[in-house]
Amino acid sequence: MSGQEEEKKPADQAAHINLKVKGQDGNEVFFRIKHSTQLRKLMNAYCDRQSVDINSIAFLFDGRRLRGEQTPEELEMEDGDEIDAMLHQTGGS
Amino acid sequence: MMVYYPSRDDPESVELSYEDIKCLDPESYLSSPIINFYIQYLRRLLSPVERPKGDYHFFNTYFYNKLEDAVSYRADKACFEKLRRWWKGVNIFQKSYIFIPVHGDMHWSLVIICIPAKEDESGPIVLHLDSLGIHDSSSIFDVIERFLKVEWNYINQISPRPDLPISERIWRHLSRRIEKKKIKVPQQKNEYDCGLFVLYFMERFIKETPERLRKKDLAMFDRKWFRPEDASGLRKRIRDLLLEVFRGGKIEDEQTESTSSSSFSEDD
Repeated sequence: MSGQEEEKKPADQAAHINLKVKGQDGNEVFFRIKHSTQLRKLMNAYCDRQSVDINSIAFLFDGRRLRGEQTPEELEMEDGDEIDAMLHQTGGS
Repeated sequence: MMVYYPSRDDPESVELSYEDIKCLDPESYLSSPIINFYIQYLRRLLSPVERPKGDYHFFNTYFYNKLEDAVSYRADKACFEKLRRWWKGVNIFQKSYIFIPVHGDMHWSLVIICIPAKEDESGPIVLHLDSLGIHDSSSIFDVIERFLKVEWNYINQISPRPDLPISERIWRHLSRRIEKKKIKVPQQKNEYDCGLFVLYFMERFIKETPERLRKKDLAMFDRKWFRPEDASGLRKRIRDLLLEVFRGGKIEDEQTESTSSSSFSEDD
């Protein structure tokens, strides 16, 4: 399952970045956002689309937890970069 | 309210909400935010002051499942290449110890990769510690072995070759010199403490092992390594630490010379 999200303006390509969010089941969702957009927007959109609670998921970039107010610019993300959406794990026995 | 440990700007920052503390209630199962929090806590206790030469690497709880996919026979090369960004700038073969928590089937166990002292003329030693013996050690060893072999290939292509704490003779045939050991460890007497055992294994291991492992050190492990109650007691200790973090206090060990402290901030 995949799809385009966010602003789709053809103009000013350079201001936008394509990002892929990959779930644990291998399911991929594609987003196109501005370099300066806070990633919170992408996280919320992903959770809405997947119908999951945002508090049950960790978004990771290169293994590191993303914070909502970070931007692709700040993290030096490149076009086509992948974000992992990992469900919190729990275990006892 | 969210808090960030050790701080918001730390690249390894762990995000915690007050809700997360609930999994430290009696008989509750530990969740990944708590495990990742305590791993960061342990990492920070290993200040350069305290252990000048010990060199550790900690992977978070999400790593193992990604690794499993990346080294599976179905995965293409690009998959592992992407995963390498998780330890960017780190040569894992230069480390003394690498910790990898393993999660599966509602259970936690621990892998420790040791790069022994050079004089020991030994290849990497992979240990698996499981407080219930639920996880299949041999399939875990398969994954770790493939990880080390693929990574070894990458490092071999770097020229000049980085300085390594492994003798040339061993390095050349490294893929055949990986030893795997399922370690006998104290067992939990209940069905909810495995996450605490994983963290306690790490804590004790760091305290008791030398800068670099020697094969004889493996004798320290057995079913009576510590009392199971000691591991279970971590539940309260972590809870107290977290409450302190939420109060905005400092939780650094007094022996640690720390320059930064835990910080918290409101998120939205």
